[in-house]
Amino acid sequence: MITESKAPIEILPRAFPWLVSTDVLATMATSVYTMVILYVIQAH
Amino acid sequence: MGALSHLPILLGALGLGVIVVRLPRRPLMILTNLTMGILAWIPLVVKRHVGWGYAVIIGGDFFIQTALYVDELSHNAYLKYLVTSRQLPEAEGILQSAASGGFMVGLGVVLGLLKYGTVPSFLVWSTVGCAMTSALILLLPQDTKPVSVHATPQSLFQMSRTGLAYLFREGELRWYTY
Repeated sequence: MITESKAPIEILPRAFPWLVSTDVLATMATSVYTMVILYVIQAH
Repeated sequence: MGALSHLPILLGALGLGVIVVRLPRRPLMILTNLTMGILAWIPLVVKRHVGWGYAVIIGGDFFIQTALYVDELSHNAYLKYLVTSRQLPEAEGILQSAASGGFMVGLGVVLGLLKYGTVPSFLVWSTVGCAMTSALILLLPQDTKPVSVHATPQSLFQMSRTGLAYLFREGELRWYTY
């Protein structure tokens, strides 16, 4: 019987989730700023 | 305002990436996050102390969006150092999805808490977030030395053209670019 060989699963490096966390935190901080600027403009 | 926010991406799309890969990415990410944290205060300071603030608010937003764009490019350039080329599509997908999720969560949190907090308090949170991001980036491994720091405007232009030609040659990448 011929079995299909599977490519080895490559594990993403340990530092990758850390990089994702910094990116998420940065975008969250920026979205807070975006909301604030819209609020300021609306109140202007 | 929304359209102007996209101007840095339109203006910088061709050249900034070529420049970013020639700079050390980790310090660049730290610098852009700190810049965003400081620039975020411009609208409030302008509103309180300057009468003709609207143009300055838009101008400040242009710079903060540019910093954000350079930050995103640095993250992507750093990712190329962190994972293998086979892992790059998966890693890039996770990174972009997580970032989009983070943006939506941030919007939701502010919308939910708007009546409980003041504008300065939200700006403090934004700046603290940017400062924390910078601190966390310090814990990431040092990336490799950039390919070259010597580049002329002509060579940068030529590299941008080569990059664009590559994107348009590859069908799937072309649609991704659009």
